[in-house]
Amino acid sequence: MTKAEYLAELEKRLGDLSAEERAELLADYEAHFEHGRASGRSDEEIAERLGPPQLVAREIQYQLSVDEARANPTVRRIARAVFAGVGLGLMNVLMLLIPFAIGMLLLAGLFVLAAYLTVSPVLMLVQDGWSVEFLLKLPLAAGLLGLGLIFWVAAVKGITLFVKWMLAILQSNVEKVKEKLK
Amino acid sequence: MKVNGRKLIMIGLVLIGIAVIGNLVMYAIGVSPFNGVKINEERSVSAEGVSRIDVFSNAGDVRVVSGGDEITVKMTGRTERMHKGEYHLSVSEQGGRVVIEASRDLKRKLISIYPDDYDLLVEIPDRLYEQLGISTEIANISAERVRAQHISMQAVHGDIKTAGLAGRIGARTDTGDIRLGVQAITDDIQAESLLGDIKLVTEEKPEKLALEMKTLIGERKVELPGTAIVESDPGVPTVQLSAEAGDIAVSAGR
Repeated sequence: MTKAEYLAELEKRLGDLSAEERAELLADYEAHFEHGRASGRSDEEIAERLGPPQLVAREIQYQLSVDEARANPTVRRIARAVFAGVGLGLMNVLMLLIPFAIGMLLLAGLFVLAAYLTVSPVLMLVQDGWSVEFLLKLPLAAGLLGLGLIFWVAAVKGITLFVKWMLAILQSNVEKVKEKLK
Repeated sequence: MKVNGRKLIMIGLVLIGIAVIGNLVMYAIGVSPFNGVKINEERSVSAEGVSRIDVFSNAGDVRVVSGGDEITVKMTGRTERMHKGEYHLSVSEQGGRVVIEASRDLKRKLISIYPDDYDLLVEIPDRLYEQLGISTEIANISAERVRAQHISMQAVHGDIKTAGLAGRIGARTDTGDIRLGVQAITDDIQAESLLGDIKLVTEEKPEKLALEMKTLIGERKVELPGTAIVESDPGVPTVQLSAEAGDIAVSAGR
């Protein structure tokens, strides 16, 4: 693969990035080729050392998505970074997708439980109607509502902790990818 | 408006405190929802001249045992006071047929303190009946040491478990395991489960047996050393076991 072919393929694969980001990255890779040529290597050898442009593009997109998640951490950005990382291989599925899926399931369960407990007084009213039995259940309803509020706060706090935890995992994983690219 | 987590926790703790104190006081004076009431219904009917017994239960586990001089039925459980009227038990006898019906009104419960099920114990005198039928909807069936020319058990969602049965036996469940313990295989036996394992255990090994075992997803296992497995024959009892997704086994023992 010649330098021109390599850079054209890489440019095509980085189509999602802004023109500015793409130009900067392509300039870096062009410099790799120039440096390699100056050292007496052929374009084929340089391309082989850099790795297939498809894989390089995925690694770049992964790094950028992690950077974006770190700069402005939200569950959506974390998810995007995780799925970008998962595309890099089976190890990343184990290291990224499994903790992400477990964390999301736990959080979802906590939110469902919190919501159920919070609306439990209404559910009791629907079930029993305006009756003496409903009135006798009011202290119980208050307790369930109280528990629901506490679980709700725990779930919201859980999101923050989850985002921090996932960022740490992503950061550690992206360091490994960077090492590989050097 | 940003909601303050600490304030919410404080409100939650106050509400829990109110709930604990309120329920303790109400429990002490006997009006708390936690002051459950017992379901303890009992009926009995003479077994004289009875040749057929049919037991129906929609939501409570059924256990049929042999013993006593008359047919006795006990329905037990625990529920909230306001739901006690939702449990029904009736025993009727007509023309040698005893019909036992136990049920709970299947209302949708959004919040429930008690599991809202019950147990039904049926005790029948030890003798050979013409027919014994037991059926449930969402409950398990068990039968021990009862004898009838034909025993039929059917659970829509529930396990079927027997010990020391004798007679022609049919057992069917959609989702649940079947464990048929029989004294001996002297009559035909049929068992079918859509989702669940089937195990037939006989106390006495038959000399000859016509055996059909069908399963789509599951293993088949026969441990009857000394028993000749033959083709269907009028003089040989036929055992038909069928599970769509489940293991099937036949063995000797208890």
